[in-house]
Amino acid sequence: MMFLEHKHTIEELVAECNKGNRKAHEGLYKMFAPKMLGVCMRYATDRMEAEDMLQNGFVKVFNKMGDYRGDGSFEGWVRRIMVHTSIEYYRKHHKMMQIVDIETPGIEPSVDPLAASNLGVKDLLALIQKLPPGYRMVFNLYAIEGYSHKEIGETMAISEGASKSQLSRARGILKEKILKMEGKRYENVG
Amino acid sequence: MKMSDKDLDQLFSSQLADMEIEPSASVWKKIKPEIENKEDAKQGTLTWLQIAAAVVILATAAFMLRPQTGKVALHGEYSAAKVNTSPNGLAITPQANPGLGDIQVSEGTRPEAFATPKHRYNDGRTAVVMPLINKADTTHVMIARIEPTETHDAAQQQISQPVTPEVKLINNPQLQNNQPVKTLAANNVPVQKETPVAQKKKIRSLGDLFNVVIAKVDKRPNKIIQFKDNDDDDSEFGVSGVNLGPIQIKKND
Repeated sequence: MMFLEHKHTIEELVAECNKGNRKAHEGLYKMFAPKMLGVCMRYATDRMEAEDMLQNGFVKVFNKMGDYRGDGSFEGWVRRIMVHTSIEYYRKHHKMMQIVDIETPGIEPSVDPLAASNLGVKDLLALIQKLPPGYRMVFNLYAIEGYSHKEIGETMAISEGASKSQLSRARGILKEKILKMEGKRYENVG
Repeated sequence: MKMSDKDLDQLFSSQLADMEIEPSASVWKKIKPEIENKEDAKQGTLTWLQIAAAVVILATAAFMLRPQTGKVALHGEYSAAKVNTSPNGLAITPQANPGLGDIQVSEGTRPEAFATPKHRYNDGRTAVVMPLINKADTTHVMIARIEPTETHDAAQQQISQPVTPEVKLINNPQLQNNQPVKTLAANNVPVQKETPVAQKKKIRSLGDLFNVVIAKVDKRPNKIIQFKDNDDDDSEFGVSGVNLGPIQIKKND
């Protein structure tokens, strides 16, 4: 299992993959799978969905490997494929649930940033996963991937305005939930 | 204290952007066969060269096998000839333009078609009566004996190099008086048609199909292009032989 020891550079692995070396495919998968599952988890409702996305994404990565021209990091390229695959997956499986009009809170809930920082990765991930799928996609793309509303609109085939409103609703829900969690925590402590 | 949108985004981004989670082993097991299938599928498809070759062959076959309406001109335009018995021997009056030039065995004309209008004499010799070349003098009689130098089978195999039978004028006094020759007209000869050999062999593969079509067009033992007809090896579709006249390649397996 020579490729699993991270002795090879990514460029070498990519070149080997393009030659059809299956060991190189596996090596590349092992190298990037945990990070990419981390990406998919944010777009999915649960781990099962995330692993489905990961699988679809890697099949695409290997099939399109010849298209990677070496401009920009390979990891960034793989990550973009994962994000697109996740959105595609969501569109296939959650089309019907796109707009679930949740009552928007009239007043912005106030959250103590210091208290919020106590929230761990698991808590935050759980918060994102519980968002309605449309909100979750937009929030991920904007807040974490750094896409503009224009790019989000193009990627998700929605208008820029829809992207903006979904982002603001997602933020509202997240703030509210963080507040509740903090409240419970204080209640428990106090 | 209110949390701004930016802070909220920052909170999630900082914690989740570089999150790593080890996937379960089943994921790779599902990815692996999908990549392998793609690579196998690539090998299974026909190459462009093979497709192009098939198209050319089928187009050529369609052209060669199109219904033929024109007559095959194996003989001249002359029709029946009158035979007169004269004291000096035989006199044949051709009714139409003799056009012997058309009879002459030349490219593509079958010698057997030429040789068939013959008369068998008692002594076993055969004779062919042919009209005259000279239009002006139609009373001359020419009796020719044809001595084919090749057998029928041999001649058929060498169509490209037609055999010219040796034609001799016979000046045989025995023939002159007492042995009248019955009407001998070249165009009484039934035109021998090439009856294609019945294909008894079953077509078992794509290569076979092409071979059958090519065999209709190309009668040589080594066809212009031959395909593998190996039915044990069903994945195989390839060329097993090429015959371009001077260039002949044949694969023996």
